[in-house]
Amino acid sequence: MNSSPLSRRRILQATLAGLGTAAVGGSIAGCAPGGGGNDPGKPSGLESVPKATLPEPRTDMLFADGYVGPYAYDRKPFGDGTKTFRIVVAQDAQVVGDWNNNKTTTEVEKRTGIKIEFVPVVVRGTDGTIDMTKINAMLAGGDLPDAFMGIPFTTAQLALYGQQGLFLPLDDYINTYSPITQKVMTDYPDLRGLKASPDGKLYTMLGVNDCYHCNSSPGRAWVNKKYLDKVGMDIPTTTEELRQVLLEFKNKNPSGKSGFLPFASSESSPMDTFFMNSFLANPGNQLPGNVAWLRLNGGKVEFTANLPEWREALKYLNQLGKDGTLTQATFTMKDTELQQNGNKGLIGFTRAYWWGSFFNPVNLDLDAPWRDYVAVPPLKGPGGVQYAWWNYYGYSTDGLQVTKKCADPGALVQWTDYIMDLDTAMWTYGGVQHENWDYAKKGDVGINGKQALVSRKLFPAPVGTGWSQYAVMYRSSDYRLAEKVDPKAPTYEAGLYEAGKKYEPFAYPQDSQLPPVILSTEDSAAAADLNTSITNEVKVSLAKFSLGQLDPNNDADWNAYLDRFTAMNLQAYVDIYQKAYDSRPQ
Amino acid sequence: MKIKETAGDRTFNVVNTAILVTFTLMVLYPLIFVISASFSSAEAIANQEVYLWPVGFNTDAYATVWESPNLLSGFGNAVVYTIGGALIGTVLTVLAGYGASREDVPFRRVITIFFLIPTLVSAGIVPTYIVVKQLGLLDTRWAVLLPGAMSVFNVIITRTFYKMSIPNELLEAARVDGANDFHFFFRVAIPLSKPIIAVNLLFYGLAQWNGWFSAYLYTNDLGLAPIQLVLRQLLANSQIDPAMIGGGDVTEILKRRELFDKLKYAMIVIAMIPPLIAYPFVQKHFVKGAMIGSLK
Amino acid sequence: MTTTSTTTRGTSSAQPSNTVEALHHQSLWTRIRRSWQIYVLLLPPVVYCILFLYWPMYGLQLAFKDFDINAGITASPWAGMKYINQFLNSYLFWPVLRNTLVLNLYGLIALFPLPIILALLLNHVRNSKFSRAVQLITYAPHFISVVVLVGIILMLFSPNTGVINIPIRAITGQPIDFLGPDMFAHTYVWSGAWQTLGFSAIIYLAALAGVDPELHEAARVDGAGILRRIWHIDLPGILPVTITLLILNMGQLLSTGFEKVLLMQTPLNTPVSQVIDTYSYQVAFNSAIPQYSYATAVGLFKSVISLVLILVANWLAGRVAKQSLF
Repeated sequence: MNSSPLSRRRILQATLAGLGTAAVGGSIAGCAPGGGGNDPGKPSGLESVPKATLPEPRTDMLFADGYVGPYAYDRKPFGDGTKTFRIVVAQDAQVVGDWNNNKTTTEVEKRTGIKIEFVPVVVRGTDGTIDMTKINAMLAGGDLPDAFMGIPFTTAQLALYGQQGLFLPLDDYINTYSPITQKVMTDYPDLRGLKASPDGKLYTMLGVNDCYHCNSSPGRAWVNKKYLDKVGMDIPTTTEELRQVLLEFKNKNPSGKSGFLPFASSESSPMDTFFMNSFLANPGNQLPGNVAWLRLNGGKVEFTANLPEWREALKYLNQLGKDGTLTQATFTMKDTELQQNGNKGLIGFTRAYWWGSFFNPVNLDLDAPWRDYVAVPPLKGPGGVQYAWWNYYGYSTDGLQVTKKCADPGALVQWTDYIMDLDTAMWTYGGVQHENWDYAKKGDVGINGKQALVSRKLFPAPVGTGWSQYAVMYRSSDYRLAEKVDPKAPTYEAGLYEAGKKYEPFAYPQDSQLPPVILSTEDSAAAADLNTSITNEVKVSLAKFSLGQLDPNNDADWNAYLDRFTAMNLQAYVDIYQKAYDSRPQ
Repeated sequence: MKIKETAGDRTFNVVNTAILVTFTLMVLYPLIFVISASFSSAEAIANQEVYLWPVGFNTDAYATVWESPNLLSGFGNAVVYTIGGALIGTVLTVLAGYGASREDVPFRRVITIFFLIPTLVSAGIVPTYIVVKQLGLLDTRWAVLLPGAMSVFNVIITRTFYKMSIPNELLEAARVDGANDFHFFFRVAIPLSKPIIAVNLLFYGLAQWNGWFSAYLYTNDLGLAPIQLVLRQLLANSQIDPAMIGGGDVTEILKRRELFDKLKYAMIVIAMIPPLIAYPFVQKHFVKGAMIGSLK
Repeated sequence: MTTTSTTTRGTSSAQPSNTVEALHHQSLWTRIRRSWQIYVLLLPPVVYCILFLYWPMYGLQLAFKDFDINAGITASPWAGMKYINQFLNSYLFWPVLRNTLVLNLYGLIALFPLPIILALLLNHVRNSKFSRAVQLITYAPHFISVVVLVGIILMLFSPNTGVINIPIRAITGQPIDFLGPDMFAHTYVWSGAWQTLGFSAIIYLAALAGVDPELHEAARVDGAGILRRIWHIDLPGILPVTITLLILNMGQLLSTGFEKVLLMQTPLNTPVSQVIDTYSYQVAFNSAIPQYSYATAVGLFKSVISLVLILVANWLAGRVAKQSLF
């Protein structure tokens, strides 16, 4: 797998952050710049280029024991300041400001010797969701820059555009120019497989953003500890205990205010990620790609929302509906209304992402009301099942793609390598060193309780000084959790970390989660259509079964529900994903 | 001659006034709400304390808008686009509407259908983008002015107006006097169509004033962006997908969310002001008999 | 301009005066030559349409192709009726079609007459300052964004926190779920009234500006009350514009725009609130790659049906009101 020049280099190195032997997966034929994805020849001249290596990492900052993550290196600029590349990036007037007139941009140019002309494009709509209209139009119109950075392409889009020849395959370039990326692939062995295309090639530079608490977020629930104490109950551990808590809330109204809601949730928050996992392993539709209620069972793709265990879960929710603790409000309340209710202290129990979902604003006062809400770990169902929703593959993030228009892909790959260096990455993320961030001192404690690595003054960095989170970054879990916290002023971070820790032991096994797969182009239209019908049906019926408009105890209602899935050709949906799963790149 | 009002008429006037006043009050409510909200504190808005008057009065939202980069250029651009768009659109529409209204022109039906079809069939964003690119208009002001410059809806309506208001006798009379079509169009038809010209100027001007999509799609240079796009990007950058929470980003989200809550009302108020100022100038062309007077 | 000719004005087969009729007897070529100036007038808008409206229509073939972004639209491989069939056979096809038609027909019937009535009322207000003030105020809501509008609707009508539901709950013990499946259509349609009436009335005001005040004077002398005058003078005067707008609106019967519906959608009202445009939006959202072909296919379907609707509306208008567009 490795060519001999590589091994020779290996022997010469003695770095702690060594490259390891399995640098890049597969000897994939690269393409000449400008060539299509099927060109069997290697990029011209790459073999004669000496592979870039890393010197010893710097030691002027403190790493906790067992730290896995980015390091800083002393390297000279590799460019001579004459080349300019055009890179399309996400526009962000609030934090980044003007990309071309930015302190980090100047610093990066100094460190790499390469000039970049940034072309900012808005990629978010006003509702916060991703809006790729303009990027898609640019691509379809043939309006290509040299590269894209921080643009939220889906892996399927990367595969599609790569295979159609718009993006260049980068494995050979990474092999030659980016030792840091090679190291990242060693630290996170599954990473490449998440971003590679079905043809086996990698059309993007790899970024990591390993957010610990994000892995459990869609399945978290919260309860007001003060109200619990008032009714004299403990945090529930089983579904039956929760039912009792809710009944007590309803009957005793510990808030003392009118309009108190024992159980409140916004209609856009999924409930099945928390409740159904007390009956079966259920990823819901919250995994990236909006895959609708599919999981793996012994290597076979399986739909969860029509299984007998799902029916049992519906019976439980139906019971809550009959108790009067699960009301219509849960299915009609919009996000802003939930926040208003939270602000007024009217919420007992809620299934929400974090406190900001049901409070607005969420300030950092020590006696702020949101601090009364604690996470409720997964409940044990009547059958003994006690799973937490978990995402095992959530750590990859947007990277950099080199287009066919680029005259020197190697330079951009090397540029990416340089900005992934810990020190440079801190500039991109935190702004100007010493003004807004510093390396931590001995004894500073991080979020995870270990030695901290960096400390920050202001977040986000003042406008015009940083690149927010749009650079290609290697933000491993250890790195993220090594940010200094002030024990006297706990932020949400610590609380979210603690919450995540409560859920992790119960996470359903990794082989229950369907990993991200790339559908073939022919299948993707059909899958999108099927997904929409299926999602509608699951959501609408969940509401109806819970509220008693349909009865899960009634065989006729349940069978009609099953029949509807057959009528919308659910099997075709499952088959499409089975096919994609079986043929995914390793 | 002063004629006595009938009792029926008096009742009508009373009822008319009552209906209009009620409707106006109903419509006034959301307007007042928006204005008040734009001057209220984010907390008050989040707690739904604002119903009619500002709560926690502050001008932060406006300050933010005022300080945002590209605001002044955005305003200037919007003025250019509004005036330019109104003129281009009205000229094209009036030419088309008049031309299609003439009953003596061969293929008039084809012409009408030619203008009608685009109301039904729209090619979509990508092909239009490709065409704009092929015309070499990307990243220029023309890319904001030209796509959507003329709305075929307006053409069809303008055509109806011309059919209604230019009788054939007028055309005959002019012909007898030796006028040709150009002469008739410029000297007779246009002066007679002040109301529809005013309507077109208004609609096209407003479309450009409110518009942001063409600038968003076809230009990258922020210096070309009209104010609605500048504000919209401000808004888009202040919303974050909750799925992006992580690390210290949570603080970032809160700051952005606060901004968003304050901004969305201020933006509407700012957008409303020039159209409200401009409307009375257009209004005077809708006065009863405005057109007839010129005819006589 | 006399009253008698206004009623027949709008028809394409009008009763022409002598000279125009005489023209129709000449040869086609002669007539084309005589009308050259009109063609010159038409040239700029026609060129514009061809460039910006018709040329991009080559993209419609995407509905029948598998789009290859590198190859471009023309060179992409053909896929036949695949995407059209996918839409027509989709499980949600009939529900979204039905919901779209119901919402839009309801909206059309309920809201179409209102701007006309508003314009007529405004036209007959004696105090012109009052009339102009009302016009100004009622046209302003047009600028309120959809997000804010729905926010206001929720603030007032939400079953959970809505202001209007407070007295309702006090009286009947139960709040009315204005967003529920029973009330959704009403809430959706009538909230549009607030926003659009004043703006839509503008075109009718412009049309009314063309009604000769002397007609009204003459009728008043004859003793006709305001209502009779409106019926016999104003309405016929704006009939051509009314018919035109009605026919054009029939052509838009399948478009709702997705933003407002999406903001008001909940799991409980989805069976009645899922329309073609929200369906398209959600399919695009649920897809990892842009579905150009499928989106174009859905758009093409809408266009074909809209064409049929316009043809029917035009024919009906010609029969019933003796006015049609073509």
